[in-house]
Amino acid sequence: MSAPKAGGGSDGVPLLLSERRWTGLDLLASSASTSVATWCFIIGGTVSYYLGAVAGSFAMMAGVLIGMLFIILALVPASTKYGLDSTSASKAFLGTRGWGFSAVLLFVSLAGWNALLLIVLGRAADAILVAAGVVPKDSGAWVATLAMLLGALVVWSIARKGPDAVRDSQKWIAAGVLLLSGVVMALLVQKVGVSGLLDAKPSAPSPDKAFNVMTGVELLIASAVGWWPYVGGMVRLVPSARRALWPSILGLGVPVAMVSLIGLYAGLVVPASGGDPTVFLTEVGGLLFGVIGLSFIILANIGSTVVGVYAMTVSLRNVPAVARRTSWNTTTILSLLPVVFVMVFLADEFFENFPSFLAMCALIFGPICGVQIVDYFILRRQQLDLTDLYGAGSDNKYNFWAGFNPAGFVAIAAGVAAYLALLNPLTYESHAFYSYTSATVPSVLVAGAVYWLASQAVIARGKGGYSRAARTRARSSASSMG
Amino acid sequence: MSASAAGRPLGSPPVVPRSRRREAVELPADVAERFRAATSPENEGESFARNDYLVLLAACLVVPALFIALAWLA
Repeated sequence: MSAPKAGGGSDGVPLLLSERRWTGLDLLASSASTSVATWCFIIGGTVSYYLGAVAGSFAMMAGVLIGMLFIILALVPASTKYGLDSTSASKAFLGTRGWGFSAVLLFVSLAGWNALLLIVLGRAADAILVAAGVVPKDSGAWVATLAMLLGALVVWSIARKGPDAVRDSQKWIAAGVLLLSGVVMALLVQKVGVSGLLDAKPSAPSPDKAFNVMTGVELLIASAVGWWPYVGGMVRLVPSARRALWPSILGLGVPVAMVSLIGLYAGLVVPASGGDPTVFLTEVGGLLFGVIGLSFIILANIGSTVVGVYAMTVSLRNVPAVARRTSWNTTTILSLLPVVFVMVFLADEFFENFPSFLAMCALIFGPICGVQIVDYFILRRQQLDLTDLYGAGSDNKYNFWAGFNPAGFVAIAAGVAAYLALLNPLTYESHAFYSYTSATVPSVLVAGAVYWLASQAVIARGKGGYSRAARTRARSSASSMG
Repeated sequence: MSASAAGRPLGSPPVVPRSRRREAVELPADVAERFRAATSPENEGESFARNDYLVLLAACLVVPALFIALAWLA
């Protein structure tokens, strides 16, 4: 056994079972409040390019459920059994140094989601000022940019105070977004009627119906798989996989699908909006409702971004060098820097290419799910060595070669290649098979298969602690320590 | 003044190899105790039962397949 190292996991030491006291209801509330934000409208609005209300609704629900299957299999059993967050769990298949790769991905993906929220915030502020006649409609981007920077400043002033300031805000935001969704749905039906909604045509469909359906599915698989960085951190607080199953599906999958559906319907009724609430709220509800709704979006996006920046700060501080050399306050600033860069210099480009960001999430987190499922269920038979996951030293079984598991990286690369062969995430040009298989599902399967094959060479060299003897040792060393 | 076989003056502190010095660093007692408790088998949570996997596959594979078929027909 090697000595535990401070800073290896979220706090350097695994959680005790007595500290993992969340009930299924706690997980349900936390999952729903984390997943429901104004980005759901944009996801649904993207589907409105390809599908009408009925086909889009079915495709989106299918996609989110398939994505949840991968996420749940990859994370829930290991995280609930051992109390592991997503990045700590990745040491088993990436290595004691290689796990930094997943930490970087977590940081980058959170930066993307947070940038989106602040961009929508800036647009909402711009729309309010234009509606109130304070600034002319063609005032340029400076109003939105200024609002984004002010928003970032407010986010920093809250996030720098630490977890207590973050804890409960998200529940109210989620409830507010759900309420706003309900009101928008009622206004949409009032505006065009149920039949008008059902008859509304998608704004930019492909002539290939199969492509349209599969793209609706794929976008929601991507948004669900994109939850990989968050899910481990939440479900690890539940001491039972069984108790975490339904709350994960109902808390993460269903609310995202429901609010995204409103984005789909709004995108169909107001095609120019593409699901962007800063465009459709005034159009659908009139000036007064628009201003109220947009004001709420500003507050909600500040709250959601605070949570995101908090998570980014925690992930940064998992790096021992960062935790040693910087204060919490400085780390929150470091976390906001990439977000501010995107919103100041690339706001329009990022917003217009949001489907590509979603595809990028699936491109990388899909293969990680495939590798993690094969590693945990097939190769390790659901046995991890917590002592080594949180430890350092040359005898650590998750050291592989210099702290990196080449099989994990090769498999992820193979999964990415499979995805790219089927779908170009930037242009959405696709291979014929994509219309029937999606891109994420094959990439998960390819990554898993390649990982199993490559791991045979790792096992043959006695690395990784995969042998039956090593698994037995893991159990007995834990027993003797107790 | 005599010297040891290693050429070290008698009475000076023993030279510990760098790697052993690192191992000798001990954790604070409360952290070590917490670590022992956290890594014991009793600290493991409950896993899925076989039925849970069936439910998961039904909810997240069979139902989506049905939804995709309905999306096609719509």
